[in-house]
Amino acid sequence: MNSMVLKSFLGLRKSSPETSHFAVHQKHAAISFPQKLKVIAGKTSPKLQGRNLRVAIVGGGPAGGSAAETLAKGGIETFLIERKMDNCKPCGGAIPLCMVGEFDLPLDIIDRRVTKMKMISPSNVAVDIGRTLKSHEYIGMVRREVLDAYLRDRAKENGATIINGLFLKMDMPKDKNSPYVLHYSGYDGKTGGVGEKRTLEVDVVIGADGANSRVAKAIDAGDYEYAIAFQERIKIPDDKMVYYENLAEMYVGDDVSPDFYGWVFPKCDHVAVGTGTVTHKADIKKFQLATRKRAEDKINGGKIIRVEAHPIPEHPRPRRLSGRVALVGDAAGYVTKCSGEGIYFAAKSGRMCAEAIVEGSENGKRMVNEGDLRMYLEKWDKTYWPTYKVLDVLQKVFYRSNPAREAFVEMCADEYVQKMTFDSYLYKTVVPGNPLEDLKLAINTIGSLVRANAIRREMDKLNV
Amino acid sequence: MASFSPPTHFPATTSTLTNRRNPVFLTTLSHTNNFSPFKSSLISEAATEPSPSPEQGNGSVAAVAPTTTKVPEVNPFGDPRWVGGTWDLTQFQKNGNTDWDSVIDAEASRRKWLEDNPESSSNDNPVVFDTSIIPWWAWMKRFHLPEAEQLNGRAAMIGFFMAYFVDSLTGVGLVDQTNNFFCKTLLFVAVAGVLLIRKNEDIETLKKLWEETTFYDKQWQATWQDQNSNTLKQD
Repeated sequence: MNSMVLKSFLGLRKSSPETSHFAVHQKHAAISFPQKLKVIAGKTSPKLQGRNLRVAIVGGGPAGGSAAETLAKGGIETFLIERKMDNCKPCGGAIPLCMVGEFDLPLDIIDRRVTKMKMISPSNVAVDIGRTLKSHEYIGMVRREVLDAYLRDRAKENGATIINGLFLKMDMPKDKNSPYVLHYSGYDGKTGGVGEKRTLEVDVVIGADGANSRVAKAIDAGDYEYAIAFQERIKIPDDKMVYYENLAEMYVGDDVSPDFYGWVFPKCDHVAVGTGTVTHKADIKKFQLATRKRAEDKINGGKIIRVEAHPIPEHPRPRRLSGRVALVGDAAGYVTKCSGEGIYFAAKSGRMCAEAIVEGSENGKRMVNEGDLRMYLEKWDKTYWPTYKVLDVLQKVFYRSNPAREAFVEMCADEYVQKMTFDSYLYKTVVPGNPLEDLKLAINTIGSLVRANAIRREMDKLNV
Repeated sequence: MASFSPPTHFPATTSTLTNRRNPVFLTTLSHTNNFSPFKSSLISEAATEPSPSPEQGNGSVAAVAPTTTKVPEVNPFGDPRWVGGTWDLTQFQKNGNTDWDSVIDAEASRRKWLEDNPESSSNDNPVVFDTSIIPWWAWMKRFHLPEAEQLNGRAAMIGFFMAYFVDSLTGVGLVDQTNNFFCKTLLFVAVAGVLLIRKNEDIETLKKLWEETTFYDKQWQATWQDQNSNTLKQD
């Protein structure tokens, strides 16, 4: 068995220069042999002769930028294709504390540090959370154009090639070692006008092009349900801005959103007031008006300076990986439920995918295959599945109906809940916590839900 | 340690603005072209609403005094017993004790009012009412006990007749029935069934709930299903 393995491996090594030049006719037999071995361990892939592994990343947001940096640092020839370098993305813009450390972000990228949050129930019961935060803990509010540009520039410094272009389509390779051919319109500093059609040959493609990913369409990744998030940037008078200095608000209620929440997030010098929904997208303007009404006292006298909307994936695509193409970030659908957080997970998944490629290719010396990329999926699912599941359960339980939301806000007043929530949000780990406190929390939650639903039944009687 | 005091009383400037509050807000709406249809609907909604007092919302609660109208358009929620963002329990006294039932009624009416007429959340008049101030036995007495009585009554009636039928058909008396394993199992199933399924709709609800709990997991594992079918093809 061993000798057979060695024979086929040597056979491939001799022929690999030809495979990289697309001459494949006699290679099929030799290449199909290690197929079974590849399922076990991708390291038996052929060594690349005379060049490093080439990877193209489509999309230059947080996912693309961090993937490009990790790949470039790992010695891989990296191409990052981004269509608009100064893109001011519509986005909540909140990053957890751990992202600053994990991605070595300079502190001046962060416009604001949110240390207090206010949760407001349908009947306007307002609960302040954030008492349990330590002085160095905060939620960072960033401008996406600043963050994205920083990550891309850092990738460039490490050796990645940044291409200003719009990805059009991709030709699938004919066999396991042929390259993918990407077709894109290169802009190259030409302002306006149609770009020049160009092609790029690479071995691996990472799709980091966001919720409407073209790479995902190219690999038939399937669709996901998505929420529409609608946001207005409002410049409010300075004395009102003081209130939002380091405070963000969350409004819950059927008037504001049937399955999500409305928010007021402070940005650099204005606030973003918005809401979102999955099931009632047609009513989004109505929900936005309701959100503005609820925040009326505090944003009165403000001027709307920008209106924006964007889709938020609700769950991962059915297929996040195909051949040597992997999806990361919003393109893969890595947005949490309940809070709708995506920036950190985009950056982290980009990095994890890049790390898997670096490892599978031994720093760019070998070709990778689907098995190596599956390592990234495995690691991702194992690390973050609990987080996603917990947030899904929270959304299902607490965003169900107005009584559930009242109970939710009531629960948020509890200090233990605040501590657990912030610990898991800021550090992205599901913290086990004290079992006795957990039991008390469970009983209190049930109590809150029962009371709120009981009042709901009384309310229904009033309707009659 | 992040010392945090709830943002309470803002400078008087906000209160001077309240009189002009709605007109100012409406003019900001006019700045954006997108919202002119909404602006007109907002004005018309404000104009056509006269002062409906909260009495219309409360069928069962005894006389609630008319609200003090602060703004000409929609009345915000107002009730003489609602003081400082919470229910003033001293106004709910009955025979020297707090009448928790009317507190529950009052809160239900408040929530109903706000659901139909959402209001702006205000820092000057924060709502701090927490339903946990109502003691657990008040909730039990009002909500749990009547339903429990009804279910237990039904269970007793059915149990009596089932015992009679089983006895008449098989000759096994009540004492022997309770000793029988099969009968005990049936009893257990019956109790569980009654607890979970109280209306016909509950069966559908339970099925949907079960599907819901596993749906997200399935969405995450979809990409792995794909891999298994791929490796099968290769072999």
